Formats: sequence, structure tokens, C-alpha cells
Amino acid sequence: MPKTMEFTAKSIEKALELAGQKLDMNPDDIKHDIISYGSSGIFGLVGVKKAKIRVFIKPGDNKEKRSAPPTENLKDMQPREHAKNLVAAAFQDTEYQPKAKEETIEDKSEPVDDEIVAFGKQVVETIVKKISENASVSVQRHKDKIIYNVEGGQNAVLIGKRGHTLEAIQYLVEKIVNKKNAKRIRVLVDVEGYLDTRRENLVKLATRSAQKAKRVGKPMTLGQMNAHDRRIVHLHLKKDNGVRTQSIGEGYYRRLMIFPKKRKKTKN
Amino acid sequence: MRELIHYIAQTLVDSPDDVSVSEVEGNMTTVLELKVAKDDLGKVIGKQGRTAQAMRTILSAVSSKAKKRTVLEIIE
Repeated sequence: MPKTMEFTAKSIEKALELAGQKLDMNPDDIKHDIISYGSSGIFGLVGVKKAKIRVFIKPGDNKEKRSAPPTENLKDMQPREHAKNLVAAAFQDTEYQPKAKEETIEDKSEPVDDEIVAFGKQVVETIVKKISENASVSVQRHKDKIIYNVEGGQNAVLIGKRGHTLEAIQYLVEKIVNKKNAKRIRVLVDVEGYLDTRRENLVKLATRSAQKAKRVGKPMTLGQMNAHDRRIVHLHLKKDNGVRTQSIGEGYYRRLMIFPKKRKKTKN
Repeated sequence: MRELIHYIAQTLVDSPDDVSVSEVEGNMTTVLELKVAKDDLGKVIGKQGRTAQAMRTILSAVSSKAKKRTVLEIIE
């Protein structure tokens, strides 16, 4: 039989938060009934009622949650080393899965032509050599995308401010490679795991912003990002039931917004 | 620098023979003038100027090494 406890606070949300703190649980995971919604009265003076909730505590539940405090159990963040080791694997795991599905419907994926890969490599090398000396390019081939990894050289210059230079190289190479054949091949250019580091940072930023949006109860706007970065954030926050994401604006001014979802009255 | 833009432009366009890049050197800034065939103009500019933007970004990365500025102009 679950034990019950009652909590009162100014609002349901506050009461849940309080319960979460007391019981060492994530507020989202608490099973509760609402006894009274509470009201702020007139101008917060007359007729103020406190919100009251009844929380069910399962004996086993508590222990389980105790091991994972609320701040950490929201996201399963990849440890940095792990991410670095699995450049290609991670790409497929987290990011390109939905895309890959689409593409298999369109065409039975043929392996990318050797000639095209070599040509792309030559293009990347030509551009990279102009920017920085003694950099080398290695190629990883996947179903219908090519990853060029640039090693050595001055990678700060190669990446540029907020990855602008890297993005430009990638864009041009993709364009040049795809000019030759009808089927679109995705091209990624990476400088010593920069793409992974950036994804990690974005995931962290997304997690933090989502938590803030939930805490404050107001939408959060993330600064200017490119489509690829926004996609990472969207996909990452899809798992989070407490928020909803949307991109607003056009072109350069397109921003990603995180909206907190209204909490359901009862969670069972 | 001139060769780089020449190379990129040539690989982007349909008629690579019509690509020409001239360099006008100044004290601090160098101006690169890119000329392509009329039909290829859209290819080197790109949607919303994205390709031109990308080329300029790469140019600025290249020229930052020499502590100079390079401006890319596409001549109609």
C-alpha cells in the first residue's frame, strides 16, 4: 500500500516542488492528487487559499529515485570521452536516425562512389591547405554520407568563430560533390571532434534552458543557430515531456523557443 | 587566394572555362573580382547568397593568416 503525505503551498507547482524536495524526487515523477487548487484571492489579500496536494509514496519508488537526484535524471548526457570515441557511431545513433529512415524509403541506398569520395577529398584538401598548413584529411564513408575529418593544422582558424568557417567549407564541399550526381549525398566536415563537442554543448544548453523554462514557467529563446544546431536541440528535447520546442522567425533571424507545457492536473 | 576562389568557382559552375578572377590589391584590403558566365551567376551566389557567403567566410579565414582583408565581389 502506498503511503500518502500532504503538502500545501501557494500553487500546485510550488507544492509539487516542495514535495519533490522533501522526498528527494523529481517533481515530474510524483504521483499526486489535488485536494485544493488554491487561489490568490483578490489582489492576493482577500480569500487567499493555499493549494493542497496528496502525494503517494511507494516504498520502493523512493529509494530508486534517491539514487538519481532531479537535476541529473532528466537527460542521459553522453560522457565526453565516450562521445569522442564514437564519432561516426554517435552520428548515426542520435542525429541521423530519422533521416536515415526517410532515405531508405526513397531509394535503396547504394554505397557512395569511390570517384566522388576522392573528388570531395581533393576539394576539402585544397580549401583546408589554403587556410592552414600541415593539415591532413581522412575520410569515413557511410551509407549515403561522407565524413571528412581534418586533423592537425591550426584548428581554431579552420573552425572559425562559432564554427562559421567549418560550416562554410562543409556547405561548399557538399554543393560541389552533389553537383556531379543527381542523388544527394550528405557531407560532413569535422575538425578533430569539433562537431561532437559542439553537440555536447548544445545538449547541455538545451537541458539547462528546458529546466529554466519549466522552473520559471515562461518560454525560453535560444540564440541564433544554424539549422543543424537547432535540429540537435529539437531532437534532444523531444524526450522531455515537460517542454515543447518550436523554431520561430525566418532565415537569419530564426530562433528556437522552448515552451514549458502546462502541468497535468493528475499524473498516474 | 586568387587560385582558391578560381578553383572553387570552377568546380561550382557548369562552364568552368568562363571563370575568371582578377585581384586588385590595396594597402590593407585586397579585392577579388569574380566573373562567371551569365547562366552560372546563380550558382556562385546561391540561395539567399549562401554560396557567396561561404566563399567570403573561407576567404576571411585564409586572409586572416596574412593579417589582411579580402573582399570578394561577383561581377555581373
